Amino acid sequence: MERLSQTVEIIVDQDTMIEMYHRMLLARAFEETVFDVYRRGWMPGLAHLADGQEAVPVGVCMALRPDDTITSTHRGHGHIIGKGGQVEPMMAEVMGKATGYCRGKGGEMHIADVKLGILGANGIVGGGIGIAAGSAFTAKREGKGRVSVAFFGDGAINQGIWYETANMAVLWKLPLIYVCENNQYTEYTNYRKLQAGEGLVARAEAMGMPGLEVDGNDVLAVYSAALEMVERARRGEGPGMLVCHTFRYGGHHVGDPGTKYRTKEEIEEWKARDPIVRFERVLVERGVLSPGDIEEMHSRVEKRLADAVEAGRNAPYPDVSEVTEHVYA
Amino acid sequence: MAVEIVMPRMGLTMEEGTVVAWLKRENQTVAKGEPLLEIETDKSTVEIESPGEGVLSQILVKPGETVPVGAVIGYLTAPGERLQSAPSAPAVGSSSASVQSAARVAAPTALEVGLPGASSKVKASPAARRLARQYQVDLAEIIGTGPGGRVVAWNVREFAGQVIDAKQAQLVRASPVAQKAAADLSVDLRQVKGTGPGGWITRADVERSARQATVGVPAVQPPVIGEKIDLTRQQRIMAERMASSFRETPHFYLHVDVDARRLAALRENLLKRAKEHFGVHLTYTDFLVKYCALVLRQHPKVLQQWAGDGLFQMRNINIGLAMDTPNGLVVPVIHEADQLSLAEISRRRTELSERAQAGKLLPQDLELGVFTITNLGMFGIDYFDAILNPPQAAILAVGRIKERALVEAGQVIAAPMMTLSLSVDHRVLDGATAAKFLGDLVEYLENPDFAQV
Amino acid sequence: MSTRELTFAQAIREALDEELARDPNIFILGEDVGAWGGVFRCTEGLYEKYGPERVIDTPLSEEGFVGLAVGAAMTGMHPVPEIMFGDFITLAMDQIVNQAAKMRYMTGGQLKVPITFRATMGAGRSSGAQHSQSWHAWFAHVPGLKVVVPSTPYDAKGLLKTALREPNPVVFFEDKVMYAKIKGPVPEEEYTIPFGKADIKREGSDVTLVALSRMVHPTLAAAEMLAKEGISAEVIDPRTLTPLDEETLIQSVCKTGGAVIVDEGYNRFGITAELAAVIAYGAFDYLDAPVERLGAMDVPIPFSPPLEFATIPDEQKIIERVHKVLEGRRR
Repeated sequence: MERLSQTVEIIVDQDTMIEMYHRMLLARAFEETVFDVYRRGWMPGLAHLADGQEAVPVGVCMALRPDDTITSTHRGHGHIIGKGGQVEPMMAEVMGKATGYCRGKGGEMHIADVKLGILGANGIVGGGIGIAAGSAFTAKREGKGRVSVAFFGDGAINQGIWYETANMAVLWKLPLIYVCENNQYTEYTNYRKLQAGEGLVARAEAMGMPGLEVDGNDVLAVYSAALEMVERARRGEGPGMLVCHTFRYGGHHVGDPGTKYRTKEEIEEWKARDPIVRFERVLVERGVLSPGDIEEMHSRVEKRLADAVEAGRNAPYPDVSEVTEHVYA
Repeated sequence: MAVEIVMPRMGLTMEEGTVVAWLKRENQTVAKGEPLLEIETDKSTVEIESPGEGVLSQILVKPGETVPVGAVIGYLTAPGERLQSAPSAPAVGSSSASVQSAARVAAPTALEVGLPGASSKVKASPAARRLARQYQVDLAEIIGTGPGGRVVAWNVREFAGQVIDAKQAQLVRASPVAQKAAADLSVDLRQVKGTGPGGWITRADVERSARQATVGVPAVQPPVIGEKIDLTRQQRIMAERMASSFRETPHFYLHVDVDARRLAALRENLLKRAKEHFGVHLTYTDFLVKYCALVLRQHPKVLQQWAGDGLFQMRNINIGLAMDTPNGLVVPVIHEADQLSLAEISRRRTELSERAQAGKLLPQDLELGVFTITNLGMFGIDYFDAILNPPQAAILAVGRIKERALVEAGQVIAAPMMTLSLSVDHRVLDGATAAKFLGDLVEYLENPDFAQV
Repeated sequence: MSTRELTFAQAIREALDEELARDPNIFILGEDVGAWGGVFRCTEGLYEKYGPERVIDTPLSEEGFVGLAVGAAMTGMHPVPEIMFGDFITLAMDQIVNQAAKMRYMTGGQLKVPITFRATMGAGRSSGAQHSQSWHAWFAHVPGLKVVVPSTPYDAKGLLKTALREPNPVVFFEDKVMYAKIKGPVPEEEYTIPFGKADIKREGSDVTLVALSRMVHPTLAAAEMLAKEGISAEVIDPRTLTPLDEETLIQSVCKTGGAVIVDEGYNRFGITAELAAVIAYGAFDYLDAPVERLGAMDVPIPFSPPLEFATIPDEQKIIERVHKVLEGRRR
C-alpha cells in the first residue's frame, strides 16, 4: 500500500517560494508552448511533455545547490527549468537551431547545460541513472558535499541499472538521490500492471536505503522531502529515494492524446489537484503574492515564451559543416 | 563443325604426351599452322601447330597433364560457332606434381565462345589492367597465369617486354615462349633463323642460337676490355625504349635565351615568405613547373601523343622532373601541376626528390607524366638537347642561369640569362605550334606578373 | 635506452601504475581488480599501492559499474572500468554505445568523456563460446569511440598510456592468451604510442599480411616460414582501429599487389571485411589478386580443442592463403 507522508510545515522563505512558483510557471508554459510549436510543424521529431508534473522537478531542484548535478529523462523539460535552465536556448534546441543548448545536436530529448549541473536529458529509459551514480561517485571523491540527483519514472524503476547502481550507492555511501516521478503510466500502460511487490519505497528499503513517498503535486511537500534526503546525503550518510506521485496531462508524446488508456474521470481528478493552482492558493493565503502579482507573472512568462519561439524561429540551423564536430574532444 | 585438337603422335614409339604450355588462350583466334601449344614426349619438347583456322574455344588438358596419343586436348571452332555440348575430358595421368582431376578442367560456357570484343571479357587483375593501359598492350593477346587463367601484372610486364623486343626486331615472328627464352638467354631474335612453320622462331631455335654463341667462334670477336656489368630487366627495357625513341621519333629542337631578371627578382622576393609561411625552399624549377603547367593548359596540342594510327589527347597536366639519384636517372611526376600553387609544387618536388634519393619512389610517383623538364644547370651546363621521354611529344631542357651580355635599347648590359631547349616529336607538333608554346612560356618567365591573369 | 623483458600483463600493469601515479583522477574499477589483483594479474599490487579509493572492487554489475564510470568521466574523473571477459561487454552496451560514445556530440560539445574501457578478447583456452569472443569490430563501428588492439608488451604499454591521457572514450582490447604467454622488450624510459599509426612489424615485398592483436604472432611465424620458400611477406599491425592508419596499409599493397587480413574476430562483417574494403578501394589499380580474409570461422567457438583450433587462424592457414594470393603470379 502506498504511504503518503504528511506535508511537513517547514519554514520556506518568501524569495524561495516566489522563485519556485516562477519556475513552475515557466515549466508549464514551456510545455504548452512546445505543444503549440509542435502542432504548427515548427519543430522536427517528437515532443514528450510533462505538463501537470511541475511540482516534482521544481520542488527537488530548489533543494539543490548550483554545483549539485541532475540527470533527466526523455520527458525532461521540467527538470531542466527546475535546475535553472533558460527557456530561450531550450526552445532553440527543440527546434534544432544552432543557438540551442546543444547547437541542435541533441534535440528535445537530450538537452543539457553542464554549467548548471544538468548532465542531460536522456533518450534511454534509465539512461541517466548510471551517469548520476557516477556523478555521485565523483562528488564523494571531491569531498565538497555535492550531491547527485537521478530523475526517472515508474518505468525506469524496473530497469536493471537501478538495482545495480542502488547496490553500489548503498555499499559505497554515494551522495545519490533517486527521484522516482510516478506519473501513473509507463508509456501506455498503468504502472500497477507492471509492478510486482510492495510498492516503490519497499524496493528502496530492500536495497538498504531510506525511501520517502510524497504527494508529487504538492511542491512544498516535495521540497521538504527532497531537502531531507539531500541534507542526509551531504552529510555522507548515503543515498535515498523519493517517490513522488503525480500525473501527466498529455499523452506519452504529442500526437498521443492519452485518452485511449486513461479515463476522462481520472484526468479530471488529477487536474483538480493541479500543482500550480494549489501552490497559488498557498501563496495568496500566506500573503506572499497577490492575485495581481500572480496575473502579472503569468503574462510575463507568456510573453517570454512567445519571444523565445520568435527567437528560435529566426535563429539559423547549424551549418552542415558542423556535422563532424564534437565527435571527439 | 568443331575441329578436334588431339595429342599428336610424333614418333613411332610415342604412346603419350604431356602438355607443356598453350601458346594461345581460350577464345583467341589462331591461323592454320600457327604454333598452338608445346608438348613433351619421351624424347623432346615439340611445338605443335594449329590444325586449322578458327577460335581456340576450349582447352581440355592443362599444362603438366599427360594424355595418350590421340586424346582430344582442345577444340577449334569457326568464329561465331558454339560448341554443342560440353565434351568430356580424357582420362588424365600426370608426370608432374600438379594433378588436376578431369572434372575440374574448367570449360568455358558456350556463351563465351566466339564473342566479339574479347578483351573486355578478359580476366585480368586491376594491376594488370593498369599496366596494360600504361604499356598500351591488348590484354586479349596475353596468356594469363593467374588462377582461372587470370592475367596478372607479371604477364603484362613480360608481354610488354616482348612487345618491345618484337617491335625492335621489326615484328619478328616468334612465339611468346620463344620471345621469353630469347629475353632470358639474351639472344637477339633478329639473328635467329626460324625453323617453325612459316619461318616462325621457336624456343628450340632460340636455344640453339644461344648455344652456338658460346660454342662457336663468331666471325668478328671484339676484344673483351674491362668487365661486364649486368643490367636489370628494368634497365634493359629503359635503354631499349630510349634507343627506340631516338631512332623512331623524328626529333626537332627549338632554342631560346630567356632574360631571367624579373624571374630572379620575384624568386628573391618570395623566398623568405615561402620559407616562413609554407616551409618550402623555392627554386627556379618550381617556377618552371608552374609556368609550364599554365602554358600547357593553353596549348593542349603539346600534350598529344603519337599512337601509331592516330593521336592520344592527354588531359591531366602531369609534369615529370628528371632527377639524378644514386640509382641513376628517374623521372618522378608532379600530377595536375596546373591545380597546384607554387608552394605546393615546391613541397611536392621536395617530397619526390627525397624519395628518389632514398630509392623509395612509389609506382604512382612515376606514372602518367605527359611533359618532362630536365635541368642540368646545376652541373654548369649552358644548354643541351634532351631525348624525348616516350610517349611524350615534348621535353624541356634547361641550362644554368648565368650573367651574360644583353642588348637593351641599344645598350649592352649584363643580365642573368637562361637558355631553354625544347625537343619535339615532329609527328605530333609542327614548328609553329611548338614555337608558340615555347614563346608563351618565355613570356611568363620574362614577365612573371602575366601569370597572375 | 635500456629495456627489460615483460609479459603482456606486466606491461599493462606498468602502464596503469605509472598513470595512476601521474593523474589523481584516474581510478580502476571492476570485478576482483582490487584485493585479488585481477584474474589475469593486470592490476596486481595496485590496490596495495593506491588504496581502495583508486582501485575499486565492484559487485557483478557490468551495466551498473560501467554506467557509474561513464557518469564519473562526465564529471571530471578518468575511470578505467575492466570487463573481465570481453564477452560480458554486451551487458554494458547501452552505457558504452548510447551514453559514453554520444554524450559529447549530443550536448554540442559541452563536455568530454575521458574513459578507458579495458576488455579481453581471444580464444584458444577451451573457455567455450561465451568466454572466447573478440568484439573489437563492434566498437569500431560506433562513432564517438576509439578502439585499440595492441599485440606486444611494448605496444600495449605505450598505447594504454595514451588511452589514459585521451579525453575520449577508448575501448582497449587485450588478448587474454597473450597476458602470460607473450613476452617482449619494454623500455624503462617514459614513452607513449600515438593512436592512428600502424606498425610495420616486418618489411617485405611479395605480399602484405595485416594482422591484429595476438594474430600478429602466428603471422610473423608464417612470414618466417614463407621466407624459406623465397616469399618475402610484409607484416603490418594496425594497432588502433579507430583511428585507422589507412595510408600504411594501402601503400604496402600498392607495393606488393596482394594482401591477407588475419583477425580473431568472426570473419563475416568484421575487421577482415573492413580492412579488405579499405585496401580494395585505396589500392585498386595495384591489386594483382583478390584480398584474402582470414578471420575466425563463423561458428560459435567450440569447447573441444581440435574443434576450437579449427576455427582460429594459425600459421598453416595463413601460409595457405598467401599461396592463394601468389598463385600464378611470379614476383
